[in-house]
Amino acid sequence: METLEVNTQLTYSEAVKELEDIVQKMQSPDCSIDNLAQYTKRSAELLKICKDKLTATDQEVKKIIQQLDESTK
Amino acid sequence: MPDLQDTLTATMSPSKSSITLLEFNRRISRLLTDPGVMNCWVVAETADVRFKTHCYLELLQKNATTGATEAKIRANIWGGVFQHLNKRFKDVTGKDFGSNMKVMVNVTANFHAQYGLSVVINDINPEFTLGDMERQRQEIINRLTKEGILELNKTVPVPDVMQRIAIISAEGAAGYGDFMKQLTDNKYGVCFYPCLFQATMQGVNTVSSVMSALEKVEQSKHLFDCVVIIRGGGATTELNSFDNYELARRVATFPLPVIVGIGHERDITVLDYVAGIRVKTPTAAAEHLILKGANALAHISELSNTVVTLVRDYIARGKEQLSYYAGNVPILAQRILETNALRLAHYITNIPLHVQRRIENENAQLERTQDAVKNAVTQLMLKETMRLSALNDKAELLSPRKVMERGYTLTMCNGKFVTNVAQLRANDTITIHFRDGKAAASVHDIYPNKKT
Repeated sequence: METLEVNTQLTYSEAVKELEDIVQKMQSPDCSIDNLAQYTKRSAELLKICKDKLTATDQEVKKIIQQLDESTK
Repeated sequence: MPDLQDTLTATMSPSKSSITLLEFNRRISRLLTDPGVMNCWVVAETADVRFKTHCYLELLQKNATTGATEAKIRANIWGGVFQHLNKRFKDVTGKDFGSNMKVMVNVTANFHAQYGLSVVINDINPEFTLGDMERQRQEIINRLTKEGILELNKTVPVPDVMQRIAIISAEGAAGYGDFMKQLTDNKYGVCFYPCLFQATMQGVNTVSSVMSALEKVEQSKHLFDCVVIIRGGGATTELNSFDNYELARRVATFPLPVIVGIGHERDITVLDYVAGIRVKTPTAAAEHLILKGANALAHISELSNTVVTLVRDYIARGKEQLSYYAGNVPILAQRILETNALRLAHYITNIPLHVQRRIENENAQLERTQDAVKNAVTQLMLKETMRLSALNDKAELLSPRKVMERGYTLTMCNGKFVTNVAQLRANDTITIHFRDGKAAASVHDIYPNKKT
């Protein structure tokens, strides 16, 4: 259920975009070491969201599509 | 009463003389020796051209207005002949002999007792290159190009990963099964949400059926990332359904990216031109989707590695910085102490000198001030002496004695000084004081000065 919650908040594209932005910020020479913990924490969250989006079944989406699938047969 | 056995025998025995099917087929075959069906030049369209030892195909004739097939026959070209004919055909047309070509072929009818009627192609006139099907397709493509929508579906944004997939196919079709199996078994573990929208994928109803499925998908378009139209192989002639203007237009203007995988490598339809993504087969469609998912996973893994590397680098740099400071702070402190000691020594040497110089300066200033005060006092004394002497002279000059010496007198009456005549009356006795004595006198007359 935790996965579902996370999934409904962000789309894969949004999560990847945010992740790429953070990586870019971390690569910038202006990045302060004080922000590092925060960036790292958010990166880990986003990586999990992205990976889950791709490989973990989203029960809600599955249910909706299945219903539609049955109704169109 | 007739014997039962006789009756049965009479019923089962042919009442007229009969022949076997094989014999009958041989008779048909013999009919085909008529010169009218031998070495005859025929204009037709090719379809479903396959090469396997020999070349097998279908020859078609279609109605020019309706497009419906009016005549159709199986044909083959023997292997050795085909090599030679195809080479010549390619030399002239630039293309291999294949499906959907309008051709002029020299044929001989052939009836095989087991496989039925077909024709053997003896020669091909390569001047006939573009068949009607090709021309029609070109016309549709030209029309879509003119309308500016041929490439429209290719401009629909394609998500990084397409997981929610609307499939338009026939449930029992081999292509659909392959596609689903491929998606489900993908080795990357990418999760897909397929939804089948049933459609007839061959025959005259194909266009209306696929159009209606597209309509249903559009109604739920927010649920999907893309549409996949798939069907497995089948006879090439069946693919003609997909060379349809209305269907092509629908696909071209569809709001979701459309992936088309409806044929074999040798068949290209108008749908292949208008689809956002064109693949050859249903399997290739599944591979495309899986690859996108796998690429996304690889991208994430790359980002993950980048984050880890960056964090490691930061920590390493931080440590390096700390160790630099750890090594350098004592040296810096030592240097600061030395600098300050030097500065202190400098002060020790210089402060007495400064004090001495300051005292000297102050003394000189004091002396200058003393002189100035002395001068000022002398000046003041001189000035005051002179003023006193002047005052003395003035007092001396104004004293009554001095005035009297110059001839002035002082008059008194009744013990008071007389300063104006109005104080006097006739017969008053007055005393006049001189420098050297006084005289009593009496007033006779008074003459005041006339007022002016």
